[in-house]
Amino acid sequence: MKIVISNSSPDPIYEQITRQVKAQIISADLREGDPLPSIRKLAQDLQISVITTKRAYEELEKEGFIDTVEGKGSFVAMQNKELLREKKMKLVEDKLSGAVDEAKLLGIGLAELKEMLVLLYKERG
Amino acid sequence: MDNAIEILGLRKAYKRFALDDVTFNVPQGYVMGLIGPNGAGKTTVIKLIMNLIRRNAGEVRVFGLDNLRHEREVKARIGFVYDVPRFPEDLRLGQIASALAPFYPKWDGGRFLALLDEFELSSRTVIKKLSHGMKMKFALALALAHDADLILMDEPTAGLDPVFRFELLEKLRAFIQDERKTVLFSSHITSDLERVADFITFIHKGRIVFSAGKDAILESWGVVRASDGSVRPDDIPGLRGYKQSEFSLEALTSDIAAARKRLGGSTACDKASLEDIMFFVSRGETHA
Amino acid sequence: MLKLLRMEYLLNRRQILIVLAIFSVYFLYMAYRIDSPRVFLVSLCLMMGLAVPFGFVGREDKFKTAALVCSLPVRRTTIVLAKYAISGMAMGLGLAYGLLLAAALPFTKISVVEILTVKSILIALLLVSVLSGFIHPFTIRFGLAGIIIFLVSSQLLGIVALVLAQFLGRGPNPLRSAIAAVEKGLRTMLYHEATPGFLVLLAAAIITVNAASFLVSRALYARRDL
Repeated sequence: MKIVISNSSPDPIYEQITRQVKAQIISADLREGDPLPSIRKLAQDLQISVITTKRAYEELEKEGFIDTVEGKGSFVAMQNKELLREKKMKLVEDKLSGAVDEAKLLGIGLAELKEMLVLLYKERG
Repeated sequence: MDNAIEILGLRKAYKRFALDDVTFNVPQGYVMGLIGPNGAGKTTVIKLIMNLIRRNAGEVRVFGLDNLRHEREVKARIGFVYDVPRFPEDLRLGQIASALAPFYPKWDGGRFLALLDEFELSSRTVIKKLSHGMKMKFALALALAHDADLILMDEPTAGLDPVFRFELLEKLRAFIQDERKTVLFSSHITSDLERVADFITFIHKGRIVFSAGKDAILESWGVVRASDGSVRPDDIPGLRGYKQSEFSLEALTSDIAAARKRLGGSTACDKASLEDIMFFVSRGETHA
Repeated sequence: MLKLLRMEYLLNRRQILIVLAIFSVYFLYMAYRIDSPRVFLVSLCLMMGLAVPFGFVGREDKFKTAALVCSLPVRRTTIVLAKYAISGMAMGLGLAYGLLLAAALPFTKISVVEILTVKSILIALLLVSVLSGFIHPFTIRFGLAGIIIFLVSSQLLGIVALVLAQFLGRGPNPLRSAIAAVEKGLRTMLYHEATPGFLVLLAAAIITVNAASFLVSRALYARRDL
């Protein structure tokens, strides 16, 4: 499991972790049943506080991405196909919302935005 | 969450300084950093836990045991590392270790030698010949060799070069992998604490300013910077100290979210570093 | 306590040898010059009673090992007990060594065998106990500074005595009587017949002096901030 933390990012560190783990689960880099490093091991590797990794794992568990078994560790949870698709949709939705907000702030209209979307989708293989 | 250390209403008075009603807990299984400017009382707190100095009032419980009534039991489980390791100069590391070993029921000679190896020290070296950093590593090896449940250190990284500091912090992180182990260390080098601490207790002029999770602190404290005199210190919610010059204002707030909401886009609200917090609380103005 | 004794021994081993070497020179000189066995013994006691407490505290302060010892899982009472035990053993060792050296040397003016009676050994122990018994509380409480405090206090006492003496003039006065009493007491003790009753008294005195000193030291050390 590859996680990269950036101290200069405005996002709290635990969010950076949850986001990357979610992405890896959704993209099937991490598969159902795969074990995650213990919160302490992860904290040591990333050189961050154990409390942060603990919080990240708690968030992931709350949202159903991982399961934690007492005494055994954390594993990628069985992903309901429907739920997974929903999560994927949500991820993209969030990103699109960000783009929409930005566009509105800069005064870029809906038509222009749609055009941009089509172009980008075609361009990016 | 069990507490490795519980401190309640601790008081110690000196001629020109006093610890006043110090209360905080050190949760078991984590690293807590005790920060504060020089003379704030960090060393005093640690010495009081070890009963090297006598308290005037208050309670100190380590592993649930009163540190005075169960002094020997408590100390047998503590690995104490002084800021300047104090050993007779002309002795070899191995001799010192063999002199101290019998006091600790859980002392493991094999583990001690393995640690010396890991720290690149030889038991035949004379203490006099070690650099400050190597002496610290030796002191840590002694503390770890008897399977201490709590490591207590007073300014362990002061006077160490960056390489040694990094190594020391690494060793602490490895130590804390066992969730029954706890670390409490005092430091005025905030960057070290930012890197390794889970909890931070900030002490200033003998009083506790806060004792909380490091991430929570770093996410909710912030520094407001306004350049055109548009913001007055009183406008800032959660103000904890500020510095004002003719053209600019820099202020520390313990509630960055509220500050951002109130002050909007004209002022910069950045996350505070521990250094910022320490600076503004100890040197900043608090009233307009 | 044994662990402490062993530790103190291990930490100060080399020092002991050096000190013995230095004292050898003194002892040689004493054996060469002194022709009264009583004077020889009392001199030995004076040296040991002063040098040993001073020596140990000097080393402890130099390396600041007091904090190290107090951070060990050991009670302060035990620490004080160990200090007394070690001083006692060191002084005993010193006395024995001094006598041995005197006995072994060809140019000794005294007969060591004459000294080795139960009475004189007890007196020697009493003398070192009194001396070290006075010094220990100071050094245990104040460390190296304790020696200074002890010396300064002694000097002040001496000055007071001097002034008093001037004030009281020649002829009989309480100060003269006090000093005479001490001298008489010493003489009586040294020349007293070695009756069993007297020996028991000496032994009791040794125990009392050490116990009293120990209790004071223990109370002081319990309050000492390191």
